[in-house]
Amino acid sequence: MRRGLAIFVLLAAAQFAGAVERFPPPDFSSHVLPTTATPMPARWGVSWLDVALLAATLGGAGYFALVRRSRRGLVILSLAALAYFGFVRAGCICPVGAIQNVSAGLTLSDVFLSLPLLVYVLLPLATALVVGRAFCGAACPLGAIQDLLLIKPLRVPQWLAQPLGMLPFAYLLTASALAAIGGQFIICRLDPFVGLFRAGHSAVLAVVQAAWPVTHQPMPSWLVAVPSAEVSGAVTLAGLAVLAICTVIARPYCRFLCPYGAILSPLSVISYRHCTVTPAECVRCRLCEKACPIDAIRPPTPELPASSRLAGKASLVLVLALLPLLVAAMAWAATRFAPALASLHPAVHDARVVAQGGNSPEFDAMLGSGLSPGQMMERAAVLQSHLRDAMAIAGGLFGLVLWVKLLARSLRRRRLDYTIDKSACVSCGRCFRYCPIELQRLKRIGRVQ
Amino acid sequence: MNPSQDNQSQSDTDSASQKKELSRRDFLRSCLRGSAVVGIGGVIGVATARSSAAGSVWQIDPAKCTACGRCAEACILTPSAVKCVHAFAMCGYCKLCTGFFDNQPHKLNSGAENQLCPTGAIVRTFVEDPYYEYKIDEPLCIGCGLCVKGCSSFGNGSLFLQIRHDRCVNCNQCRIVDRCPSQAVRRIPAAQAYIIKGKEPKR
Amino acid sequence: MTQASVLRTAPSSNRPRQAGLWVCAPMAALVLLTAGLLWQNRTQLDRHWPASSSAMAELKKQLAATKDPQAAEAMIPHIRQADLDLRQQYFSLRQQQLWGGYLLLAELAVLATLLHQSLAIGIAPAKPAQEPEPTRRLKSALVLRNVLGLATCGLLAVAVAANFLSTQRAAPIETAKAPLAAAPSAAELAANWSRFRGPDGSGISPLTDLPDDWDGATGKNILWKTPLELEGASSPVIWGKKVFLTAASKSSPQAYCFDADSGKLLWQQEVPTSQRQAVEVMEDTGFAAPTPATDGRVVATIFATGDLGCYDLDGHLLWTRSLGPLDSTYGYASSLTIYKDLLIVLLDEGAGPEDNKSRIAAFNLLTGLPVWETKRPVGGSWASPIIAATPTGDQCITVATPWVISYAAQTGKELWRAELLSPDVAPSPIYAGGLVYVVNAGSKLAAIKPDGQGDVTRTHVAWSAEDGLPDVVSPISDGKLLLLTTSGGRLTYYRCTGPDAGKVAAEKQLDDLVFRPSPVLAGDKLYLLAKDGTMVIVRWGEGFEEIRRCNLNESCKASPAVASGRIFIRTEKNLWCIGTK
Repeated sequence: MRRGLAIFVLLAAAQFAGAVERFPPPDFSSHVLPTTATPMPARWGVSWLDVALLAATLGGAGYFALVRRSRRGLVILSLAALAYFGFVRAGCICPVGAIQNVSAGLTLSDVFLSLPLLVYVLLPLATALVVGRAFCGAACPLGAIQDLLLIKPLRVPQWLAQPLGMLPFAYLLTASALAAIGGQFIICRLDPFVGLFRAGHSAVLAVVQAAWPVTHQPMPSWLVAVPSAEVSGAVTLAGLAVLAICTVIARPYCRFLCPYGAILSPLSVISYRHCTVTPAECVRCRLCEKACPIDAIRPPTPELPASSRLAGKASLVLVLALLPLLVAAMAWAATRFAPALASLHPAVHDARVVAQGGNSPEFDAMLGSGLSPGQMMERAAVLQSHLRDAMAIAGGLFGLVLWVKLLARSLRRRRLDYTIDKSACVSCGRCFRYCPIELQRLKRIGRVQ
Repeated sequence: MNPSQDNQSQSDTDSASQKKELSRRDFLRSCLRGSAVVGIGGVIGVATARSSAAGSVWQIDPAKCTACGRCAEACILTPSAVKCVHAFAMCGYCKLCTGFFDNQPHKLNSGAENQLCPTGAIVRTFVEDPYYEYKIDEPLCIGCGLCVKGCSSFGNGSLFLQIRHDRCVNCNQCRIVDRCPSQAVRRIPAAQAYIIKGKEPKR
Repeated sequence: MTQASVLRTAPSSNRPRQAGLWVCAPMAALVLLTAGLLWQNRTQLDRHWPASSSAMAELKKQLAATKDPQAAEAMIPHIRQADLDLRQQYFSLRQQQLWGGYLLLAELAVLATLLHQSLAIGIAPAKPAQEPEPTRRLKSALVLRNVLGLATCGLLAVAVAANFLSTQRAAPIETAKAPLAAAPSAAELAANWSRFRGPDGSGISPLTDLPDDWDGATGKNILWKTPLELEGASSPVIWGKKVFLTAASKSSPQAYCFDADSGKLLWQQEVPTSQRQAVEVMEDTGFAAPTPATDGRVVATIFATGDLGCYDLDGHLLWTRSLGPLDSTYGYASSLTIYKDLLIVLLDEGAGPEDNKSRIAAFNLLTGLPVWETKRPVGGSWASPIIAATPTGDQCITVATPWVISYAAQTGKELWRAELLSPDVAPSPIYAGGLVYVVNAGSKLAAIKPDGQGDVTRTHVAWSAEDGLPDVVSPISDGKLLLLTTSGGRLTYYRCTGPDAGKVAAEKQLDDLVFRPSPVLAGDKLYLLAKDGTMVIVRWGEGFEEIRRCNLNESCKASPAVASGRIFIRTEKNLWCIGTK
């Protein structure tokens, strides 16, 4: 009821604000009032065209990775994806950030979720169930730019890569929890590449527009889908730093941050089919051992002494017993971040600014809104408690992921061949050429003995 | 040379056990895959019920906007996608327009010394005595909101800020949302992409 | 086939690679140069933001200061030129930023391509490393697991740290203000005048040393008088050496604090108000009719706009809350009540119960957060609630049309109600001798036993009467005798106890006097303040025995406040302090 009251007060104030008429508008006899222009853009957000192009790219990626086994085909596809999804669409329709829209759309009643966008987010996931992370390898502009920039890959040592590999899960769960309460979309905010895409888009368009008058025709609307504009601070220092890192560390964003990858990788593990290093039987020649810049090729497992097997079993039991503890601990730990994270919700942020006192635009806005600092803090407290609940769920899920990872480390499965780690492999096709069997298949060399 | 030839016998037994293990694992995988398909289907089902074919766009609610001027600098575009808009039907056509003239203008003409707008983006034209019409020259407008403040403080409030969709790139997360002190920027259906003052649907 | 022949042939020397690197170096320098220039351009752009150009503001100020019209005319071309220059500079900087950015992008693309080409030439084929020993692999697998475990511990540690930090940081926001001291004791309350009509709203003071002789014209026994700029019908409240008062114009509600000894203004605060709220009030009521309340810890103010402002005694704003706009026919006038840690606000609005707007709410004194709120089935009212310390607990008694309703002060739960009053209720209720007395012109005077439940109209009304009913002035009673004062100066004494309870004991007509303020009883002296500033001092008792009439010769609507041997009277233009010491 209290909220109803607040809304009533708000509406009353708003109506009053709309009805100020200190100077009655004149009745002109001859003068016609101009109309207020309301220009529309050529397109809104994700269109069915984008969905169709994405589907085509994903299909092509599957074809080139599994059937044709062609790295070149995959590179051409990813260049096309970079050109269209990156520079034509200015990077701002991407399934990576759109996870947050889905999260918000599922929990908040006042969030619009467009159908094409929904399909756009889920299509790569469905594809991952069939052919693995084909999206990452060929359709994602973020992946493409990282792949292109890779000049001299350095290995990330496993002791560092493994914990860093947990970051995407934490990022995904945190961003989803925050989006679910109506907070900022931090994935979009922290995207290091979108600025480059916008600036690139703008630059290309500016050049095209400068050249366009030659034809004496207006530019077609599909070309000016996003207006040419100076993008301030588009290529940020942080973004440039990430780009620089990309030259020596393969796909740092994909491996250590991308929240969409955190969904794709488990789906990829259970995929129906997946590309392989070798087209036929592995001959264990070890030539592909260092072929993968993201360490997604796993070597055969060694023969273990019986004593270590026993120890392994003991630790397996320990890990199994850890599940409830891990989930509970992580759920608790995650809730501890809620107060700090809550500031990323505008209403909480404003309430905190007002509560700190002093004059601020937030304080002025509060006076105009008819809300008191107390009411704002109250609302902030409610939002914060919602976030705490969401973070508890997110933390629990993170604990589960952590447990599965620990479990996977404790279960010692025998591997005789060089196989692909389906959770990490992005189907870039780099390793194909390292395999002698592949070269034999391509008739580049004779029969391997 | 095939390295596996060295211990042929062991490889045989290995592959047998491996096959058994593989089929078991395959079964597990297909179960998981099935549940993932069901899960994705579920998300589609639930979300479709709450989705629409048309998208949404960012817009400023003039009833909440306090014309603080932050959106001029917060937008990723320079100049900002936010510009001043005039609801002519609400305008009093004042001779002394407090959205056009600076505080205590020297004379009531459009000289730079009298204007409030820092970029001279408001065009003042004589209509009939004593009425003047004010139009926004949008390419010049930087969306600072000075005129909006002037008009709503002392006038009818017919000048207000709106996100212009011929400029807005419709970022998934609008940067202005983070900075807006009154939470006036929100997503609205693309079919009705502007909130024009005085034309608001009756509540 | 050997392994080596399977792979690409390695280059025989590194020369092409070095050559490539030599091309890259100048390109990298060019990138850095462009980036540096862009950065410098960016900082300049920030300084040239047109909306905050200090140069232009300075020129305009000079123009405004120039008195001579000819000199002013001469200045104008300069200003226009400066304006043009500034704008041109801004827009050209912006253009530079734009194309500079594009240039940087292009250079980066070229650099990346060059690096790619020059380094790729020299990349050696992947040589299989020596196969590690099985135990080493096992060890590394175990190490990985330990690393994950350690990372988990690290995360937990961060969470603990975040927990600690967030509680540290949350502190200044949620409990920035020192926690409230304990609520004042009964003795402290009795020694001060904490709200409208004294601590319990009865108008009775335990003081016996109040002055009974003064003259506004000669200044006799006038300790000080302080002029007031803004209007208000609210009464002063007093705590220790501080006198609090409110006054307001339509757009500017003010809270004042005066020194009780000298009348000096100690502080004045404008209560934050929402400019958008349209509130119309009768001129007679004004925007500052409700009397503030204090308890020695905070002073709370409210205005006709519905803006609540709560300050500490030194004038620091603790919190504000906008409850308006309030829809009140004459203008909102109910005074505030503090009960323990609660600020109780009676918000009776609208023409009648059908408007469904009226409510009574309690807010936390320190934070302003709502503690309870109860809807009221009544229309607008102008009386103030009182807290009655009944044997069954502390009740908050409210009067309105048609219901007299009592609430549990701590929880806001309705205890009992009685359908007794109509129409526009202004006299406040009192609690004396175990009975609640309510009265209003046009209905009746009723004594209610406060131990009922539900609708007590038929069961708990001890007695009622209909003579001399006031429309503004609140009643006063010591439990034995009760006095009603009409606006027209008709005094009616009722007996409250014994078999004669409810019988008129005496009547008196004071001609030529109009009464708005409510009376104060101190010892055996009754202070009846009339609208023209005349204080009629009467011996308390059944017979009307007038002691003296003292005059301030100034119109007054507010009830007097008394504390430490002094009487404080707010007149139209001044705040007066009457006393002998």
